Amino acid sequence: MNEKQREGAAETLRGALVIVIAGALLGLGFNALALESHPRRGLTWITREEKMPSLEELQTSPSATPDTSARGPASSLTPAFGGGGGLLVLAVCSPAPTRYVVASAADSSHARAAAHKRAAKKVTKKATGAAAKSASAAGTAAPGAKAASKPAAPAANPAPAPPSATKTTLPTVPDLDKPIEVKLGDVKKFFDAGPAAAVFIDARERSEYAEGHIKGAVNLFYDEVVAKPELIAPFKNLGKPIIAYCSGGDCELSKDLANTMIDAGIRKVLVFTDGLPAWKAAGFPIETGAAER
Amino acid sequence: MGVLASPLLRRGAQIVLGLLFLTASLAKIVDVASLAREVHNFHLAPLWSEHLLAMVLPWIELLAGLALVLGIRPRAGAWVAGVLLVVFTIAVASAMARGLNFHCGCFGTADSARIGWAKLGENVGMIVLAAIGSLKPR
Repeated sequence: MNEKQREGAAETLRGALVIVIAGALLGLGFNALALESHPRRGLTWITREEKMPSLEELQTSPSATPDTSARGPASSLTPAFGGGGGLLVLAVCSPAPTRYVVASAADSSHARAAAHKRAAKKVTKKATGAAAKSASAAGTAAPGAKAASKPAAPAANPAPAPPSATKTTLPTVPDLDKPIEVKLGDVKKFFDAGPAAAVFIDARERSEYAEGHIKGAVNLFYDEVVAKPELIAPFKNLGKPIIAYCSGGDCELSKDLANTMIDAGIRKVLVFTDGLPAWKAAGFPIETGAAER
Repeated sequence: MGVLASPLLRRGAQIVLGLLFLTASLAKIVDVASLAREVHNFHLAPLWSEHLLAMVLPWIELLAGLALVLGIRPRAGAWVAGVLLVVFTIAVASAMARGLNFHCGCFGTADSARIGWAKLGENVGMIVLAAIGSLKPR
């Protein structure tokens, strides 16, 4: 390597260092500005372990004040859920004052069988119709419902109320601006409470969904949401928790989908981290078949 | 080597790679929170450093892209891009080897590609561009 070559290499190295150092300074400076902005943006300087809050812990934590979070200040941040469409109401009875009670008779376990029969047919129905139906049942407008036409939508319309309907107590889902981890036991409670209690979303690919999914779950593949963010529009203003799941273990699809939904302003987004394997292992209802598109 | 040393090819490779880097960096800068999440998904960097990486990486990509496109120290830009791409490729391969399956975030949230062979091939293609772009002019 002669003198000229060495000089050239040194110059390239210097240039590369300038790019790296200037880039790093710009990045840090931009983040500092973002942190000072209103509303506050930017990332914290040091990453802290941010475990998803668990629904179970939120039930026992004294700081959990679901009655106010559901209808109080938080709802002003997310007016979509403030009204709740009448699907979820707060219990006023003393034994479980901080828990939602699905008062609609359609949500009772008696109604579930009938609802699921219908849900099995409707579950993969296109978003527009079903979400609009949901909103109509709730007596509220679902702004996103008409806009979207592709994704499968929740089978939100419950069966007509049988006179003998009983109340089902469900865990409270606070209006957090982050996904909440939910375990099998609580997932089953929502499942048993019927389609009006929660929407189950399978975040896996269509082919995986077709091979088997939680009965009544709709298919919303995360990658498709990334490509077409409007696909989550029908899930706004549902007024009930959304339970996203995928294959458990290292599967990140449900978490990614949940975060995307949170970023879009949707609240009460639960992630069933153990996913389908745990559901199957427990012998809970599974159904097969592709989503209608 | 003769063809690769062609000034036209070198400049073309620099511009294409530079545009790719500009696109990727801008998409990441506008949604740095998502990038932080993608960095976390790889489970490679120490937890405390993930946000710092997410803050800094897109800006380095941006400057490397600008250097390549504008032709200001383009070889330096190509070297930086090449080194970044090698690191990204190792990260993708490592994630694949561990059976992880998540959204890559390589081009911000607009990119729905997941880590996998296609992403690996894409990176290798860009490494080739970086190698051509970093060749010394005669």
